[in-house]
Amino acid sequence: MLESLKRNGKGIVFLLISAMCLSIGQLLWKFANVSDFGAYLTGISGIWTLFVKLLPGFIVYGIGAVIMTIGLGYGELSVLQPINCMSYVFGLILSAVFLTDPITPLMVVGEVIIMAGVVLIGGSSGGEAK
Amino acid sequence: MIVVLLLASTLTSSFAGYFLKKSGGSDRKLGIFLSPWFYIGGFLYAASAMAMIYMMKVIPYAVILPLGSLTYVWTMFVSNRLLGEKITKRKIAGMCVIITGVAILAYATQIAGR
Repeated sequence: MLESLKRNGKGIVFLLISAMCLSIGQLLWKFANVSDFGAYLTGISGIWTLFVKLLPGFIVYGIGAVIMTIGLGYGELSVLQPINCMSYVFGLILSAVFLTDPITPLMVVGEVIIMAGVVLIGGSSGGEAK
Repeated sequence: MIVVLLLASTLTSSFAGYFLKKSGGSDRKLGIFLSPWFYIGGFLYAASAMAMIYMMKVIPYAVILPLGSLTYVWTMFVSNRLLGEKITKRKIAGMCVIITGVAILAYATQIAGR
């Protein structure tokens, strides 16, 4: 496990930051509150308004994608990519804090199991052949 | 039809990861912007994300989210074939645990009415 953390550690940190960006991006889209998507697609000005509303989320999402790409260079793809699913965990926490959506006990169970899986994969490494 | 879309989008997402990795990563830092693989990977990534968003509208959240984790299963095979990464028992176990966790989380979110 220590061996894997040495090999993939930097990548794991990058991927965790990227997962954080993904969930922040999603939170910004929730803030933008454009559930009636179709209503904006009626004219140029509507599409522009939609674009401006969604832009902050897109920017954070894009930054997350760049961080992820750099991170993938620091280890095995099969170890690092699954860490993306931590964005579900961060997402629930963020929406509990900023949107005051309650977290139910069953959600906590799911979060803990996801984290256990990430630790299990993050600590595994079959050796990278370049 | 939706099954085909699901398989295609999860497969696309894992190839996106492969191309993004191919774009250089740690060796090139922000030089990744000069790599065509970065744009190919980014495009595939965006395409699969859009397919997922569409599927979330037609299939319950509690079903689509765990199925989306199929991506990591494909990634294990893709990185084994194309990058020579080993498939270990520990990786398979971790994957099963993650998918279970995502399924529970998605179900919990669904019954909470979100």
